[in-house]
Order: sequence, then C-alpha cells, then structure tokens
Amino acid sequence: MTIEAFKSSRALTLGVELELQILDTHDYALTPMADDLLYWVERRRDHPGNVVPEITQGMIEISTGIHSNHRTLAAELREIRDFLCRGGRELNLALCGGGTHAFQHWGEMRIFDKERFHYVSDLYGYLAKQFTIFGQHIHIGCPSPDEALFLLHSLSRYIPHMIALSGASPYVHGLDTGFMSARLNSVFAFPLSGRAPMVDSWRDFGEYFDKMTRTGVVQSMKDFYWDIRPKPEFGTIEIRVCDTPLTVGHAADLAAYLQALCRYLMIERPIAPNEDDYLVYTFNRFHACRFGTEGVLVDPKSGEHLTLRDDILDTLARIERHAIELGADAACARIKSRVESGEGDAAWSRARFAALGSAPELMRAQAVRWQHD
Amino acid sequence: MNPSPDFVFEIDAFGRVALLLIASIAGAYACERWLRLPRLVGYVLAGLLLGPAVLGWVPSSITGDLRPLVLLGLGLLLFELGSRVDLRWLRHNPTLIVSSLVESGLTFVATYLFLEWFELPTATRVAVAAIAVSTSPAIVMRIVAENNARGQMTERLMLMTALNSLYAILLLKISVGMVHFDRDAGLLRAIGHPLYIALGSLLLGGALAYGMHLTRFARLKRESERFALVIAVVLLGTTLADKLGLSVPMALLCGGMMLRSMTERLHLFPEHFGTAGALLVIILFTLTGVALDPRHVLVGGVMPLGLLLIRGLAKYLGAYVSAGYGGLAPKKAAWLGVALLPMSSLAVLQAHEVAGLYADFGDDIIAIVLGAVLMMELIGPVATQLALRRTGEAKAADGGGGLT
Repeated sequence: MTIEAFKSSRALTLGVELELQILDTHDYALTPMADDLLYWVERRRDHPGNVVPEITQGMIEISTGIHSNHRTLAAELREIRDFLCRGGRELNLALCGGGTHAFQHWGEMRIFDKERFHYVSDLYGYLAKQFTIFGQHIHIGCPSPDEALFLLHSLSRYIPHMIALSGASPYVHGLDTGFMSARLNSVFAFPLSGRAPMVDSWRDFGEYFDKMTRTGVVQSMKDFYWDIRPKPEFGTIEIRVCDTPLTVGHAADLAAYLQALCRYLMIERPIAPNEDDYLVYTFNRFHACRFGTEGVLVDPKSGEHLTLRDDILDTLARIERHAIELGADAACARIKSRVESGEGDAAWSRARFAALGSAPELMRAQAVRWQHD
Repeated sequence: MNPSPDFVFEIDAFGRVALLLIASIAGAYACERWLRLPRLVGYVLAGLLLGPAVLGWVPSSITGDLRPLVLLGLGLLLFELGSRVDLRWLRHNPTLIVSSLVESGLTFVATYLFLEWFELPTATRVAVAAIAVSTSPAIVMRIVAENNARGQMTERLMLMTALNSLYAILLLKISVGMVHFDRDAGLLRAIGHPLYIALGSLLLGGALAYGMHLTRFARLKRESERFALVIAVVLLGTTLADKLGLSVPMALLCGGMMLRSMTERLHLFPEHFGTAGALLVIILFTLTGVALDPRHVLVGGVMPLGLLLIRGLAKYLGAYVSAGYGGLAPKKAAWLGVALLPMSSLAVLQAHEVAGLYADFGDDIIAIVLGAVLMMELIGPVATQLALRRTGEAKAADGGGGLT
C-alpha cells in the first residue's frame, strides 16, 4: 500500500479535536455512556461540530470545522461544549476535560464496539484499555507536503512547550504521579509512538511508508502514534501531545499559540531542521511531562539549558508580531499570564484535590469547570 | 456409661443462620457458574430449599425471629435506591416524569381492568393493581450491583423503580382509604389518612436526609463509621415511621432522594453501603426464600398467572413507548420494559400491613398477590439481568465490583 497524495490546504488554518471524559453523576467514575450520548446527538439535526466514539465507552471525541482564527474557533468549541452539556443534563451524565481520569482503574474500562477498536484492543491488550486517556489534537493546514514536513520537524523543538502548557493529568488510579502530564506515559508504551523519521520530501516519506508497510508492521497512517504526524487527506499536520485542557477556552488558546508559532516558523524560517535536533528530544519531552513549565529545555542547536518557562516567554515575545497578524494576541497574552503565575491545569487539580479531599470530588469539580468556564 | 446412641443434635438459631448462609453462597455459586442465573436467585432458592416448603430444616418462625435484620436490609436498599435518584435530573428532562407516569398508569389500569373479571370489591382491585405497579427496589438494586451495571437504561431503571414504588405506596394507601369509607369511617378519615401518610413520610424523609446531611461537618473518614451512621439513620427512619403510622418504605426512599438532591457535593457510599450492608442483603433474600410457599401458586389458580402476564405486557409496552419517545435508544427502551418486571416483596409486607387494619380485606389481597410475587421473585431477577446484559450495560467480567 502506498501513501496517498497530500491534499493542499490553506496555510495556517486550524482544526481541533478534543477527547472528553464521560462521568457518572453518582460517583464521578467514567461511565460507559458514549452510545447513549451519541444517540442523543444523532437525534438532533444541525448539531454543531462533529461527535464520534473513541476506543472505550467512557470517552467521546469532538472536533471542530476548519478555522482561520482564534475567535471563531473558540466560539465553535463553546457551542459544541454547551450543546453536549445539555445532552449530558438530559441523560444524567457529566463531561469534563483533563488528560486522565483521577481514579479510574484501567481494568474497569469497556471497549467501544467498532471493528478498529477491537483490533487495537486484541493487539495491544491492556495497553489499549490503559489508553483511556484524553488528549487534544490540533491540526495546522499546510499548502504542500514538503512544507508540512518542514513544519513538522521545526516544531519538534517546541513540543515541550505544548506539553507543559497543556499538562492536565497529575492523577492516575487515585494517586498523584508527580507528573504534570502522566497521560503521555501511557502513549510512550506503544511501539509506534515517538517521532516521525527525518525526511524532508513527501517522496522520501512515501518511501519510508512503503518500507514500513512491506514489513507488515503498519497498515495505515493511523498505526503511527507519533507526537506530530502528517494527515495527507486533510492536508495538515496534527500535533497530538496536548492533554485535553480543563476548559474549552484554554483549548482554543493553545491552538492560537501554536498557530502563531507555526506562522513564525513558516515565514521567518529560523531553524533548518536536522536529525541532531532529536538528540535531546526525549529528554526535553520527559522534563515537560514531569515538571511542566518548571522543567528544563535543552536547546538542540546551542546545547543551552533553559527553564521551559523562560523559553516559552522568550518565544511569546518573538512570535508577537505573528500573533497580532492572526488575531491570536489575546490568547497569547492569557498564556503568558498563566506561565508567569505558574497556574496550570495540573496545579489547579492538585489544589482542588487537597481542598476537597477525594478524587471523586476532584472529578466533580472538573466537570463543573468544564461546563461553566 | 457409653454415649447415648440416640443422641439428637438440635440445630439452634445460630446453626440455622449458618446453614442458611452457607446454602445461600453455594446456591449463588451454582446459579452463576452453571445456570448463568443471577446470584440473587441462588439466595432465594437456598431459602426455599431449607425452608418449610421443601426440606423443613429451617422453620418459618425464623423469618419472625430475624425480622429486624430483614427490615434493616430492605431499608438499606430503599435508602440506597433513593440516594441514586437525582431529582434535578427530572427538572432537566421532564419527559422522564411523563414516561414514568405512562408506564405506571398503564400497568395500574390494565391490571385493574383484568381484575374486573373476578368478583372482587373495588378496594381490593385497587390494592392489587397498586402492588402490580411497583418494581422491586431490592431486586433492582441487587442486580444492578451484581452486574456492575452502568448506562442510560440502568439510570432510568433506578429512577422508574423509585418513582413507581412511591406511586404504588400512595395507591395502596388510597385503597385503604376506600375501605375506611366503605365501612363508614367518614370521608375525613378516608382522604385524610392517605394524605397524612404521604405528607408525613415525605417530611420524615426530609428530616432524615437533613440530619444525615449535617453529619458531613463531622468529616467522617472511616468507612465503618459512615456505615454505622447510615444504619442509624435507616433504623431511626424505620422506627419513627412505624410509631407515627407512616410508610417506612416511602420515608426511606424519600430520605435517600432528598439527601441526594440536597447538595451538589457527593455522598460516597460503597454499594449496599459496604460489606456489612451486603450481608444484610443476602439475609434479606434468603429469608424471602424461606417465607415463600409454592402452594400459593396453586391456591391462586390462574389469577396470579394472568395478573403477571397483563402486568408484564403493560410494563413492557408502557416503558418501550414512553422511554423510546423520551429519547432512550429503541433497543434499550424495549429492554427497560423487561428490566422493570421484578415484583416487590415490599408488596407482601404492605399487604400484611393492610391486613393488620382489616383482616378480610388484607387476606384477599395476600392470596392473590403471594403467588405472583413468588413467581416474580425468581423470574424478575433473571429478566432484569438479561436486560442489563443484552443492552451491554452489565459489565462482562467481574472486576471486583463496588466503588474503586
């Protein structure tokens, strides 16, 4: 099987996918009501966004249309959120953000009844159930495949930014993992996770894909669980490292920050990507997962050690012009104040857990926040 | 000086309870493992087997001796069901009330009309039809817990069970009012008595819930202490309702519901309020089995059978049409009608209560209803479990259960 042609799309257009948790309002455990919620959605004509099932019954995925700026993206996300929350109230279930469920045990999960999900479940065993984690995927439109690959590799240096800014999964199985994003630890367990190969043309990428399919290890692009992967049928690259934030507002802000960053990389071309950039990749990634903005980032070109906080603030200053151009400046200002004050979603969860005293109460607080903020 | 050859080993009360418990566990194992039936059916069958109806190792007097435990077990399940029903859900989705009224109303009317064929006084027909309306809270809660069920049908099953039990209690009290009226007790008593019971039970439930709600300030961390508190509340509710001539099940159901709806914060109880609660639930079902007498099926003749058929049909259609209209997926709506089938042993308790007032009136009802209850005690749990499994809301493998 050869790789399909890369469909051209308008540069820097945005699309967001969010995986959400479905909670039982009785004890705030994950509840297998994806079917019920989807049935509710189907019965409403002209509903906003796109709502689809995910691998286990306790989760659901929403996705937006294509946007060129933060304002319309945020508005659509709010509209989808309000719509689904109404369904939730009618069905007596709650929805919330966050990268992991605070106390659910993976053994409790039920696989959604769909052929691909059963295939994945059979192949990966408990890893598939442990994959009941909730991420935000951001698509960035690229005019050509080679541009997409350039952007993909240029972004690798900034992947820790996206992890640190979105980290919202400190708790797993009721315990504080010490991580800001424990969710990504579950992703690493997959054999085809990590990074895309260092190729800079779509032809070379096609060759790599052919070799991989010939080995029988992969059948489609879907089998790669890379942090950033090209999506030829959309004409985008997809950034998959973010935890689903606790609010739709922050989800839109993250997309806006990424959009401004991509515009900076595409227009100013400050770095020429090469294989050595990846020497520090997993180290940086770990630090971002573990410590968030307090972590260390090693610059792949200079070898300099910086804190992620300083590097993000520095980047924000550098991309300001592009943010203003895209109408992403207000979103970037909110991100800046979050970084300066150290208020992330993971920190919020830890504070609520301490105040409320139990993981179910934390999940309830997350559900309330998702509905209103 | 040799030991007496005709040494007779008398089984005392402790021995009998031990025997019952062991038989229950064995029965539950056999049901689940070999017959693929709910464990609950095993408890009931064990009681039936050891009881006077079959082997006679356990006399029926044991149900009287252990009555406080039975009432406590039942009270716990009623309170638990109440605490799973969030009244705010009704506000967000008013079709649920319509659905519940349609299902209960259809059941009431259908069974009432069916009973017209037999020459029974109106009050008796109302009472029997009222009993037919209610779904057994005990069986539903137990089967939901056994199967670790979660999902939209499970949510509606619990809600409809709580609501139709409340309707049934009210209707039964109204039938008693009718008897009062027939016997020239005066209109005031005929209307005033059911009204007193309804409002009084509601108020008592509210008081229990508020009391329980206040204990959150004590921040009880130990599960054992929180369980002791729940037991105390249920006992208090039972004895107060009894003393004031109110309805115990109504007070406990309302208490649970109000506790749940009083605050957004969570009251985290493990299922059946923990291991000790679960033990009481086993005892409840085992002793229900001991009390069952298969002869009642024969005595009642075709009437219990017909009653069950009509009731089943009405519940099925009522739930299917109304829940389907109210937004439940058609497959789940159809199974909801099946899941609602278990009939209440609560009904028997209530019939006895009524019999306490007017012996002839109550005995009539007991004769008609007992046979039906006996059959439903075995068929009902199977129906509910089947519905939970066929809709995919039961969890396939038992992962330890309970709250994690």
